[in-house]
Amino acid sequence: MNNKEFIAKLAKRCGMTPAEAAKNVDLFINVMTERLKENDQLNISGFGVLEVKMRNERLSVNPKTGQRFLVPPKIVPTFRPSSKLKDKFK
Amino acid sequence: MDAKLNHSDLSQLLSKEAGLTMVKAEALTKALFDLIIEGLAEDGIVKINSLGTFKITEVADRSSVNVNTGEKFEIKGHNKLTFVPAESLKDEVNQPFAMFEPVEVNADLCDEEQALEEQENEISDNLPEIAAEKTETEVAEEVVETSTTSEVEEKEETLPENVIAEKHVEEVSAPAKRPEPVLVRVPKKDKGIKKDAPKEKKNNKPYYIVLLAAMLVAMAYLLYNADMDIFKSAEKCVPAQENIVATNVVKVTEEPVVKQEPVAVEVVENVKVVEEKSEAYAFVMVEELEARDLAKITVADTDLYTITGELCRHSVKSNETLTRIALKYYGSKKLWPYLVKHNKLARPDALGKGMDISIPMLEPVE
Repeated sequence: MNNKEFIAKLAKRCGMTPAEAAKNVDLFINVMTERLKENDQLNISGFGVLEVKMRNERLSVNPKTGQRFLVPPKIVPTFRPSSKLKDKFK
Repeated sequence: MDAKLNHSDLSQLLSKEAGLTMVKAEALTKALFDLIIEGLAEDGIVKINSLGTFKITEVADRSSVNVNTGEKFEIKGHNKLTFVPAESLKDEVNQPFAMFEPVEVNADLCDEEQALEEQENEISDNLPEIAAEKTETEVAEEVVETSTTSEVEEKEETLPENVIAEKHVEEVSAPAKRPEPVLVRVPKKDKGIKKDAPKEKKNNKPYYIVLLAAMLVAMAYLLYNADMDIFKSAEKCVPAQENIVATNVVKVTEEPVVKQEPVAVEVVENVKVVEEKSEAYAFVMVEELEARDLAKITVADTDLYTITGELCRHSVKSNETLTRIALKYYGSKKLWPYLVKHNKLARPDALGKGMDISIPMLEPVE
């Protein structure tokens, strides 16, 4: 399911036009992004947890050229599905 | 900051942001997450712009071990839900660290480390050769050892020979042949307990020192000619041994002569005849010993297997050595001399790229 299909279905379900739905989804994602930027954890019951994690810096080697790179630390968004959801797709 | 937000918190935030009623916002968010789950159930993948992709991936079966009992068991394959965040989300979240970029680590350090690694590789490459050298030196030592035993034996011989000679001086008859076969047999028995010989070695110090020097020279020689194969080195050991033997023989002859000088001239002549004979015997004996020792050495090093035919042909690649080829075909680096033997390589160290060599079929000698 791609974004277009997703928006279309959501619009149908909520009784909105697709444009409205798309706008609202964008707003909602913005809200979530802002929260994640603030290091918050988003617990959505029955779905899972969206949170951010810090990845430490590391040395990586290009196996072809043998060059070594220091990969800087970074913060990545992660998703942990709830056990309920995990079981559903197992 | 570090807060845990749930569904309703998010809906509240959305209602504020979008100017929707709380009920509508809640309905929307609920519908959104439900739809993701439904979409996953339908297609196994849901893409949402600026959030990311939810995807179901398969995990294959894998075997594992029970930590407590050590039993092996299989973890069944299953599906896993993964989330790949969209680039925009990643960038937004990573803003505090956005200024960092991967940096190539100090080139000099890199080179040094590479050099070190290369050195290590070289060392590991040279290991088999060193091992080969070791075996060669061992061979040399064996040769020297055997020569020591033969010398010891000879010394033993010289004593009874002198006695015999003296006896014959009195009797002026030369049937010295009879007692000698017995003497010949004695060293044969001694050979069986060759390793006990060092005890005897300590008793005759001058010999020991001479031998030590000879051994050192032989080792230096072998190390110098490290690139020569075992066969050649073995062959080269032979003349050295012969030299030692020869000097010993000379000593054997000299000593009795000095002792028997006071005896009358006629007697001395007879004695000389006797000694010449015994000398000849000694030579024959020594040669026999040598032959057997050599046979033993070669058995130990190169005749554990016999070449029974051609297994296949092999085109030498660059950076390939005989030891590597031996390792590839026989699973042992030690068997490289057979390649030399079978292909009659004059310079086993100078293996060129693209050389076509024959891989012999080896059968263990019973």
